[in-house]
Amino acid sequence: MIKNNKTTFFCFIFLAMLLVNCSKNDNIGQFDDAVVESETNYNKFKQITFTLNIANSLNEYVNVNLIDSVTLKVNGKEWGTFKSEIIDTSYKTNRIHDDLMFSNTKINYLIIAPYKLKTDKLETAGDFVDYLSDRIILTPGDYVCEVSEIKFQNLKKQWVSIKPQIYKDFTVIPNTTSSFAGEITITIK
Amino acid sequence: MKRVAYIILYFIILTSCDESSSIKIENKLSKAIIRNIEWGGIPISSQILPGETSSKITIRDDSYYEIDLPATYPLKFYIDLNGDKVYVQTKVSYKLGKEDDITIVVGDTTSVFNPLLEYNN
Repeated sequence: MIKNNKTTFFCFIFLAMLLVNCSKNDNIGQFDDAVVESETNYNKFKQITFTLNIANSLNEYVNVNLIDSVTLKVNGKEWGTFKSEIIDTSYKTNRIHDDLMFSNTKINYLIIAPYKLKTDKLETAGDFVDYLSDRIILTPGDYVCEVSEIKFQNLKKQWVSIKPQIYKDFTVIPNTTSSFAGEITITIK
Repeated sequence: MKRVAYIILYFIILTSCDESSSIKIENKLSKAIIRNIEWGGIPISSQILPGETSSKITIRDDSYYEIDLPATYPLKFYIDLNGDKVYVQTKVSYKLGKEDDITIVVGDTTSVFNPLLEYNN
């Protein structure tokens, strides 16, 4: 009799757990990304990678741990703002000038730039329609990207901002999602 | 004669007890289709083309949908442009009372948000 009661009790607990689990199934709107692309969209190109170095007129290279902000434009539209990958540049400093460390050897910073949609001004349904229609879609071919601004910190943790307006070409190959644009050198005074 | 009286009485009872409400959606978005529209868990329409108004969805207290009127909920739907979709829900909630017939217009100025983008900003 006791055993029967126990079995019934556990059956109820199990049933209750099942019900609770079912009622929590509220997954509407839980996307990995805000935009779900059309299955017929074959233009999956998403990412530009390149290396960037900053040199002065004496052929010395700026030595920082990372470039905090690199703003890119493609086709005249903003592609996004990115950080470089952090690298260890210890023992590479040959000279300090104007609170900046310089190295005689080239220091390349790797920038991985996946396309980033600006989403800070989406208030209305019309904004979302514009958001979908303004997205940059790169079909196979040759393009030019512009490095419109870079920012990094000097030894005093002050921001150094440069607007180099440097252009670099890259190619979108059919059925690829990324392209390497090579090396970009930015010259400062 | 009695039978006619019964039938009339039956119809009077039916109509006096009918506290049904209805909801329909009009898409005034330029260029975009709105899809999978739902209000309070009730599917309103699978798709509405620009300029189109959905069929009327009737909701009764005894209906299939587990909803007690009056009720207030936002609209949830996908905006679809050339096959690319984004999920949004309205910032405003819409009230449907007993015996109400409402038409909700989704236009360019309708305030909406995507929860994922809200968290990221």
